[in-house]
Amino acid sequence: MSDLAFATAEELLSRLACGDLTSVELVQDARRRTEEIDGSLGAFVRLNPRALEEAAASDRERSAGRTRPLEGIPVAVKDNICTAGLETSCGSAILRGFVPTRDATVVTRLREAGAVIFGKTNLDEFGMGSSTESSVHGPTRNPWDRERVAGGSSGGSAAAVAAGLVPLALGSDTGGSVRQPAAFCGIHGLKPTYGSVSRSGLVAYGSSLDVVGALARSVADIARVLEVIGGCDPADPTSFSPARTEPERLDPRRLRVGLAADWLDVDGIADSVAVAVRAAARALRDSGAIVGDVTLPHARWSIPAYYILATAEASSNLARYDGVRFGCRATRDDLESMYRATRGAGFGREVKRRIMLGTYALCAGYQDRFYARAERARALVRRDFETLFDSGWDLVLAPTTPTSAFRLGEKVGDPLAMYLSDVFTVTANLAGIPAISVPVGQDDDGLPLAAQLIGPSCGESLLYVGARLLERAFPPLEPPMRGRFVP
Amino acid sequence: MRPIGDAWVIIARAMSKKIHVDATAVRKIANLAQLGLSDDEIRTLPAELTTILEHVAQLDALESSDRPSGLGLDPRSGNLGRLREDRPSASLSSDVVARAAPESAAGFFRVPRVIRTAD
Repeated sequence: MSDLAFATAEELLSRLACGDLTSVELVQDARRRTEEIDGSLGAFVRLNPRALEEAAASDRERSAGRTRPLEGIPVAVKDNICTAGLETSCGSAILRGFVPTRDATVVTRLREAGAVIFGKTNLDEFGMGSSTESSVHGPTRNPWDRERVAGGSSGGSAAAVAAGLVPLALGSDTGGSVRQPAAFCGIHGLKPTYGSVSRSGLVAYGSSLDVVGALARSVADIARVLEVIGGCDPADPTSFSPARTEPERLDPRRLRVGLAADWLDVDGIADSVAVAVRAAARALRDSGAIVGDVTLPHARWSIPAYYILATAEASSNLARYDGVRFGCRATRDDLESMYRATRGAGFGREVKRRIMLGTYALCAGYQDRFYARAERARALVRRDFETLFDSGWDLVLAPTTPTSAFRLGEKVGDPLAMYLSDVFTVTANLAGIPAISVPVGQDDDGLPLAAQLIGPSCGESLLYVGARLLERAFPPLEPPMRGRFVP
Repeated sequence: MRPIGDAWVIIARAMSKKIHVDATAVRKIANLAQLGLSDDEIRTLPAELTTILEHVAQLDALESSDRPSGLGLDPRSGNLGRLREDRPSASLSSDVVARAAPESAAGFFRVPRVIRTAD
């Protein structure tokens, strides 16, 4: 049955459709594999005890002739996305035991499309991190080398897909949290256009940057998930249904891809990453696309701007965890002492660091120096992309990460080094535009390497055209931990 | 020729690049954020925050924005400022909400004493 483990959702849907397989068998297989290997990965923090019932219900739907876009497919959901009746703790002690009363809109849409919610995946606490090491549940390990991080903050979702536990997973991307772990784990990861997917029921971190994204083993599967979860939702006033890209723009031979060549020379980028991205550029050119060098002159402001805007928003968003309405409480005699003790004990080190940074940045006297300038930087980064796309480029090709997966513990003691690992991903969040990470080979240590394609606002279809060209040019990686499973 | 006022701004910015967060500032910010910190955190946070803010201070080279850029939305999308229809709909019962709270009684949240007595 191990062929099931690494099949794409499209392949599984074909087998389900021809009666070769049932959703119950698929979920049972995923459970067996998870029980066998997730102890050494830590991808899941909780499995859905009702998954088999949901799978059986899906099988009945299929027998009755109803076929929905994800009928019977098990999907993992990052644990900062609310699931009714299933604990959602965001990798934080402060939300331990919190059971949402309703599903996030994206979960409702998955269920309506026939998907089976398989379980909740590990993450950096509240999505704040790039390695999934700051979770109260402990780290998630990389399936390719368990001494290395899976990336973050959607590290559990990426590891679950890469290790063949589930074909699809949801993550959230505030500064690269879907794309970076997808890159480290050798799978595909999409950050959609800001607002094109509802945030209702996604636990807020940086509300002007947060977006729910998809992780999968193929571009087609990514597109299928976005089709299901995307679109306007009255519960999220920033959500909308994007217009579709004109079909004539989707001809791969007319695709114009700008390589962010100066990003390949930044301090700290590994040679293997630069070589892989140049190989991706050649592959696109060989496939008929027009490829040329482009520059984004203000991208260098992205990291400082991101770490002001995201932490300022986090300091405000996380004020709600006060030990009164949900989660845990530290016992104290008066209200203010209780607030401080609850938050002091409930939040981990990185979350406290970001709340402190955000509070500092919003202090009277510093607002103009930090927050207002960060807003200015965001506007400049956005304009850089608009200028490129308005002048005829369809996509920007860039690295996803400066290096392949780093070692567990390597950056824990150096928060700035950890922040700088997001250097290539935060630009798309600041600009609110879509981006996808695509595997493009392995380095000398056998670790996955990735390229990132960034598109114009609502240009997901263009991203898929470029990503499919890369998917065809680079043979799929031999999956990790395949031999671990004995059915 | 650059007016002298601008020159002062540039000099002031260059001088202000020096950022030093000490333990007193850390305690003050933690107080604003209602955040309890351990002795170890009060010892390590000043250096960590200083390092990060020195990096962030690169932004000093930019003029500040006179208006927000409008969340993460594309300002050209026409999706800014759309409000939800003001329509009454079902909400959660107070019992359901109170059940999620660490302490509740008779459908209300229970909290420790709010008013402090003078010692």
